[in-house]
Amino acid sequence: MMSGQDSEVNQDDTSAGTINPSDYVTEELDDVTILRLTQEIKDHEASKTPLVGELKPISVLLDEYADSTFRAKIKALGGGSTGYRPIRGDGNCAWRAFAFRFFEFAQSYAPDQIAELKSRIMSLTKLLNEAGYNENGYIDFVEETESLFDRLPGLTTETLVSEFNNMEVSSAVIVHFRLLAAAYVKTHAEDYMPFIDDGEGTTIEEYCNRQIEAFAVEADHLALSALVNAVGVADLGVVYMDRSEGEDAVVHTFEPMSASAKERMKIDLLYRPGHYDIFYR
Amino acid sequence: MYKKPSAKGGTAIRRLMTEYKQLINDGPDGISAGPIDEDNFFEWECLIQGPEDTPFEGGVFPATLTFPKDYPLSPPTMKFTCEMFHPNVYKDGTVCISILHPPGDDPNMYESASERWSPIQSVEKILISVMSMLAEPNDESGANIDACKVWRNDRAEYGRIVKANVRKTLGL
Repeated sequence: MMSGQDSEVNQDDTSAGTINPSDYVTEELDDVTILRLTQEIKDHEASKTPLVGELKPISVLLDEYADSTFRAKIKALGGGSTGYRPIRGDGNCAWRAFAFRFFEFAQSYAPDQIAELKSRIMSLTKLLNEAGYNENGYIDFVEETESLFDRLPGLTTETLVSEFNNMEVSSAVIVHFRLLAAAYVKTHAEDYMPFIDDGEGTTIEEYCNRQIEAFAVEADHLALSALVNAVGVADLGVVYMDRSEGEDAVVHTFEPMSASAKERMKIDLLYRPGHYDIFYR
Repeated sequence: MYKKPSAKGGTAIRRLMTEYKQLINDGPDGISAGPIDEDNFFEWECLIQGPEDTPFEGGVFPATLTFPKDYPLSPPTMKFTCEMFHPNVYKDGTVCISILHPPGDDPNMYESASERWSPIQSVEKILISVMSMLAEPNDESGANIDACKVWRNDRAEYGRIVKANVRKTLGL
């Protein structure tokens, strides 16, 4: 879109008779406007589905696919599952899916277990400080998570779904979890640097800024690993529903390196290229 | 008891108030910023001093910051309200630097290493970035093509135009 810019800048002003892009470019939609309109279309499409949907049987997915590889994998999944819960595809889906499932498990716990889990997550605020984050920048998100923990004993699965469909609550928990994951990467640089080093000098700070801290940027493998390590009380299984060979979907499991809980939650996500939903075994 | 989640826009206002207080009490030198009207925290006015040893030195440049309702998930937009001749400022005054854009939102193809918007950034960080942008334009992401040309090809002329604008902002 802006590919003509460099040559244009170098062009001599006196080159009369040649077409100067700046003579007409301003009459058209500028790139900022095009981006804004594209984003509005995406947002509009995304807003048609809830942030966190209702639990559905896995067979519902069969209607979406004609491809035999996919259909075989869905059928194989169906054997051992109770279903899946669709999550809005807005760039936050893996984070939102993990956070919802985390709180769904927590909601089923006894009050003293909830309190223990809450203090575990709140104690991670020290990790945010170690990573160098300014308290003013994270405090509102952390407090929203804390307040969700406080409401949790009074919630049902249904009201928890409504909580997560409240943009403000959902977004705050997502940002909090993103910052925990980024802080984990920053405070365990030696573990993560080999995976971040792309030969172009990308630093830990840059990676975290662009791939984890920024809202609506999809989680990559490293981000999920950092999230699991930071939270420390959940194993994450990602069921890959892609076109790879075989009738069974490949499952990749992330386990925290130093687990603090004896019994960990088992969070499962269903991955289809570019998107995560929650999977229920 | 099921308690209704907080009202829309509450997070944004809470955060903006915190940042405003922080800027009043402990803001960086050469920068002041705050809401134009304390009944509307989504429109701010700021003043930026021209950095020393640049043609902008001695000038004080007014700008507005307009915050979205989902701030700080999304960044504000910043617009100079004075004449500003700079490669990274559109002719209408809109500032175009990487920290004002989240990753993926790439109108000007910023260098991959440049810092992007995320909810942990702040007004203070934006204004500091804008100050360093005044000192060191990024000609890879030009917003004002004329300013890019002059800055690249005739640094003395660039200095003259900028200094003329400085005098205008001072009412001279």
